[in-house]
Amino acid sequence: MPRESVLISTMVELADNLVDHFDVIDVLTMLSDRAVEVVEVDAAGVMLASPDGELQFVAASSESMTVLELFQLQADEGPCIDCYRSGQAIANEALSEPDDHWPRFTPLAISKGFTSVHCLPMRLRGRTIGALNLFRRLPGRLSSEDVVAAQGLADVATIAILQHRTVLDAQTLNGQLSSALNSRIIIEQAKGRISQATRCDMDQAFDKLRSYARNHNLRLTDVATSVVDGALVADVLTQRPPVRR
Amino acid sequence: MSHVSGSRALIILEMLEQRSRHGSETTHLCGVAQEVTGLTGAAIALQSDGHPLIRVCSSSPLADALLDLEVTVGEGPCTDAVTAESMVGSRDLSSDGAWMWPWYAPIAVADGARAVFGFPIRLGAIRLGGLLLFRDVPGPLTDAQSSYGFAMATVAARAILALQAGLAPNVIAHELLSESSFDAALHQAAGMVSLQGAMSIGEALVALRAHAFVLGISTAELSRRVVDRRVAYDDQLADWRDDEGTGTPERR
Repeated sequence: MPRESVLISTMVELADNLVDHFDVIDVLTMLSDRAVEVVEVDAAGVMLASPDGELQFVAASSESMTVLELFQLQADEGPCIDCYRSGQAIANEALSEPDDHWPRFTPLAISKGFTSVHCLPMRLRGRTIGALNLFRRLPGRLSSEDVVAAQGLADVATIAILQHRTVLDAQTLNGQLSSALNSRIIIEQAKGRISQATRCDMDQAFDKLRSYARNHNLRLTDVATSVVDGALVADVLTQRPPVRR
Repeated sequence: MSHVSGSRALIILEMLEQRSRHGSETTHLCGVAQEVTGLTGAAIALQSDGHPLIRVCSSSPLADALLDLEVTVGEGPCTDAVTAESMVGSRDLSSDGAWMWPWYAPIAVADGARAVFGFPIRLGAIRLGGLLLFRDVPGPLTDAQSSYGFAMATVAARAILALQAGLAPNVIAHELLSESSFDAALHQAAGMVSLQGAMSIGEALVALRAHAFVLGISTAELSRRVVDRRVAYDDQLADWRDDEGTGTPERR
């Protein structure tokens, strides 16, 4: 699909989500997936700033530990923090060792096979609330069109956090961010239970959670909460949805 | 360590650590909550499934009285924050507070509170209780006070779970300072152990920390071993089982 079509269908999908069964983790995961489709990168993810002032991973195009570790480390150092602090985009940052600036991040990213990294700020009226992070395996640079498209997705991600509110005071925004970050913890807890019950990997556990939520028209976080509370038995997730008439 | 410089959680933990050097009789959480927000007082309470609030700590006799009042009348900011799983507050108890909490508000005002704010204390799906912050004059929280409220609630969740795991109050701040605030493997491991041991996710997290302490390794390291299926909780034995070396021969 050409880039324009993917972007338009992403907007439509997002609009559906915003009015229908909005779930911030689900929407940000979808945007990370689209970033990989639209821009020539191999992994994408979103980090949000907690009311605490710390960056925390919330969603990515892959739930494998390989990718999660790269985001988790960025609570300490890496392009996301730099982008978050400056509010400026980081594009086509080639990774090479030794790296005094990111002594832990760069070797880890290289060991996972990535050659360059990009980061787009999520800005809201002068406040940076997080960043969209892109990783590329192939050598070469992203075009300026790619960077513009990626910033577009980062802006859409920011709107998703607002949850169609036009007026948002700092306190409400703190509440939204805190709730998004807590949702990510619920999802990790649920992934553990699903993985234990069905002997699958963590990324497969996430897929089961997500397909179940989609097939039953439920919010991802609600399904995860039911799994953790035991209201929904983890093995049930593998069953087919009820037939609709 | 694992904190961006200037992080509020880091500031809170450092203050807690400093205070715990001068006596370990309480966790000091509420005193720090009061100090970082600059409000009149703070209190922390546990709550499980419809049971009344149970006090963990309070910064003053008035904070104490406000928690007792919530227990007595069965309503108030802490109770609402726990139920709604979001921050709840009244910036003027004598006006907007009166319709929010008709029994609680007039007595709280008579006791000397004019603005009250409740924050949920939770870690993922583990709902632990609430944090109460209050002031003796009406008015909203500033942005910084609100941010500190959320940060304090997060620190309190981790500290309460560490207390439940049997860690001495005076070492908790030091322990939490050495950990990252978000560790996917830790939460995944808690999910796995909760099924292995037929326990709640909160109990699983407490069990993980307690076992890591016994082994003398970090909770993060033990979590990684659980996720890699090298260690598991055995419900039959009611104890941990080390699967390392007992797996397939070619892996030895």
